[in-house]
Amino acid sequence: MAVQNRKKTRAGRGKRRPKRQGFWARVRTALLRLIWRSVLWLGLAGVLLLAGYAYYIDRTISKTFEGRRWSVPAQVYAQPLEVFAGLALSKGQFIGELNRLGYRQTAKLNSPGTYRQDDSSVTAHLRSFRFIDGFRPAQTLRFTFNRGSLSEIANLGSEEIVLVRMDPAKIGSFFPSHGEDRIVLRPDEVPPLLAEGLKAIEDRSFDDHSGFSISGILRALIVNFRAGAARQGGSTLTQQLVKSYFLSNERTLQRKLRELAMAVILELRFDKEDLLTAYINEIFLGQNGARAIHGFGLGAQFYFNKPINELDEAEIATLISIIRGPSYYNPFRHPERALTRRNRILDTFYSDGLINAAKHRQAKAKTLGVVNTAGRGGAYYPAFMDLVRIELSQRYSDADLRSQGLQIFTTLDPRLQENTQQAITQSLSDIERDRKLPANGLQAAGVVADSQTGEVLALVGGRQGRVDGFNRALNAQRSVGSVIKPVIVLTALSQGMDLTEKITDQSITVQQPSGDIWAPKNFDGKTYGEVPMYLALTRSLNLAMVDLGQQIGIDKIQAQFTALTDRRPNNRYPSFLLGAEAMSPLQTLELYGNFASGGFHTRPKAVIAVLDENGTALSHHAFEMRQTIQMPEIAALNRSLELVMRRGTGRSSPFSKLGVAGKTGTTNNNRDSWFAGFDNSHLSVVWVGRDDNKSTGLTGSSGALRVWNAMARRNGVDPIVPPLSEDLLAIEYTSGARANARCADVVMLPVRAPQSLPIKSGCKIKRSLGQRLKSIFTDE
Amino acid sequence: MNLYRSMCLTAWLCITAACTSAPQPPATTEVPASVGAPTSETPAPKPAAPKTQISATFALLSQADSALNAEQPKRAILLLERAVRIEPRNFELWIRLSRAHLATHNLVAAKQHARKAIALADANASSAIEGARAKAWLQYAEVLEYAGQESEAASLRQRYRKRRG
Repeated sequence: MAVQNRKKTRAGRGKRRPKRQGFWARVRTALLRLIWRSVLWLGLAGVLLLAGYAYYIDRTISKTFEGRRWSVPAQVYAQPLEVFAGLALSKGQFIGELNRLGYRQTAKLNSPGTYRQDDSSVTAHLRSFRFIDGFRPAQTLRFTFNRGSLSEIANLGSEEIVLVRMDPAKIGSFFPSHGEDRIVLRPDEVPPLLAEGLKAIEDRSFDDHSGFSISGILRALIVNFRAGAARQGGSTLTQQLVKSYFLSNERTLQRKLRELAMAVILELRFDKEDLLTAYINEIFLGQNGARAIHGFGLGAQFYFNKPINELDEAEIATLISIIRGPSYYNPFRHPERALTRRNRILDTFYSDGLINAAKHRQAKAKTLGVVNTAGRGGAYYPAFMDLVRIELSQRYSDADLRSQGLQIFTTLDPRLQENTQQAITQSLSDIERDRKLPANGLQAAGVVADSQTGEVLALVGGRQGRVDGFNRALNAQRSVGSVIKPVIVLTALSQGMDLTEKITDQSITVQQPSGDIWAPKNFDGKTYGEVPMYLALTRSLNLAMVDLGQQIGIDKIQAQFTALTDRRPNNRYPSFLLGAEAMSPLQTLELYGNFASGGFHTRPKAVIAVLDENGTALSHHAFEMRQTIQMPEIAALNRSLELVMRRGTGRSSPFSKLGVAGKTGTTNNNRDSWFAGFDNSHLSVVWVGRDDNKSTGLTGSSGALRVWNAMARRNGVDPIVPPLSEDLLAIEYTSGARANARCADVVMLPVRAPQSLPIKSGCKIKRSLGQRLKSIFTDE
Repeated sequence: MNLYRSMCLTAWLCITAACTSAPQPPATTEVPASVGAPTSETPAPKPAAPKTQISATFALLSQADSALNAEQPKRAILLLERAVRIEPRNFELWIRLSRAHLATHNLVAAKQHARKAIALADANASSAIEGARAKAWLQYAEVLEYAGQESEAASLRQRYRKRRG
């Protein structure tokens, strides 16, 4: 043991010496060991972290990608145009409809979505479509026109067709999950030229690389270095897809590294066809107001107003040219720039053998051909779509709405919608110009519905209809002013009063429960004494209406209001009688729907049915209505609303004597200008005001009615059918006395108790026995 | 116009009453002129446009009746609502809608649609539609009876059966 120890000691001494001598060497060794171990541990930790990060990225992007690449958005459709012989539709209007639907004029009708015309007819190859009640295959029909109307429809076998339903205009599509607009293409729907062309222009090595391309990056570096600016990107299609799906536009090294990692993971996870199709459905192709145009499906609609499968070589090249800079190569704003790039792309198509020489020549000879129509991009009506979304959320479960490929059929009439929007935009500018108001200070909203069914045909939320923003038609809660007065008259009628009932128009003060004194006035500041009820309505006399309201009782009037609208008034005070009640234009439409429909309440409706991807109806919203007003009362009320137009505050309208009914409304200090009116077919409500609630200086007649006039000019008027003459009595307009046209200025009104009416002297109308007796005792 | 419509419908009803109902093929959007088209003996109304509008809605009405006979009331409702969108004030369409809703046991809708038909018939300025107006009331009676209000239904029937003609 001792020997061994000694040996060890010697040996130890022998070894210790150099250590002692190399202190620094020892430190260096220790340091190296420390560094080595640290590197090892850090490396291990780094690998673990990297693996964790890769796992995290993989989970995140794969899940998102899986969730989005094949999710088919809900497609939203307008009402289809029903076409039948005798319809007042000119050849020009019909061609306008075809163009709106993206049909194109060709000599040969060899594919759906085409038409040709001759002197008096149009032959159209209609697209197939699955409607709520059945599938219509594609077919060719000839439409013959004569003197401004459609005279005959026949198929190619010359068989006469009574009724044709055109395919409906697509007015939107959105992912229920993230609300974006898309037209998603499946791989088999992608035109081969688009797929190959994209690779030729954007990523030549797409089929070979693993998410990134070193050669592509180097090439881009050289090009950019030579140009002294960023001319070419080195990103592969996969990297572009990653950027669009998951990343922001910031230019940092960190983002670039993430992009590379994500691209590699996507390439590992999914095959090339999936990635290319996702790219085609995702890539940003431009901006339409607040709406981003993503994907070639929507891009084809937006720039050419037709489906992707109908694009020719030149159009595909144009769309591809936009990718590099949707703003810089915007074909609407920079057509020459876009054309140059398109032709360069066509050259590449040709040199790569994607198109032959003839196609190359033809395509280059074509103009850009972008279509700047109102309905491009499958039309876009954000205000109406708001109503669709609200209705869907009220009627469907989240699970239903997350179903794939929903088809939503709505009540929108695109022609009426366009007309209403144009009327609002144009007439607001006219009003501002004529009354020297500040430009763009006024705002407006308008809603049009079918009088009988309550289906909303058009809805405009502001003067710029295609811009997403505050939807005044749904959300602006503004006092309705005199628009409320028919509710008072209706309550009086249902209490047994006649339109000729005398009411008193005189100064009045009412003490409110708060102690405040309410002293309403007439618009002109005058008082008119005793006036018949209908005259108080036609002239919109505030004091007479307050008198009538107090006679009946505000509770009864508010109960009537609730029966007509399914909502309790917010204002329980007498000022309700003069319309100090905030309502939206849509709520006002709901109120007037009772009158326009002949006494039935209907909730304004935008969605007719929703089908799932198999064509099975998730539900169908059948007409729903409830009778709220009996026939004699509604006949009398509507007659008085016609009088408002003929003789009263609506008389300035050029359509006032054509058989329309309505009521104007103006609120305190001219803040709000309202008009609600209807004819035989349509009910419309218009509001004009300012967003800051300041005075506009407009009355109902000079503001909203003027907008309505512009709408009627575009949409036409379908006159209300007058009641049977034997149900009406000639009444002197100003006094309410019985009279005839020979002796007085008369209006024809339904009166329940004619014997109680005074007779205008000199009119030679036979008095009833009761009247004669009464005159004896009252010295009449 | 309404007389013409009534005659068309009466003629059509006679035909369907005489024929056994058979399931119809799936509907296409286009309606050939031969389906339920008015006969040439039917007097034509003066204005051209309403006549063809009636032909269009009449064709849909024929399809709806076929659907009802084939016990497909939901399909009948879709077709009738389509017809109403073309001609919303045609009270006969609302009568059929009431009938179709009754077939789906939707009493509320059947009742309200019958009332709508009555209101539209009442509002019609033509005095030549007494029979059709009675028909609207008789449909209402049908709904009342279904709802268990037999005495009211019987009373309405008594009043309007003769007027239907």
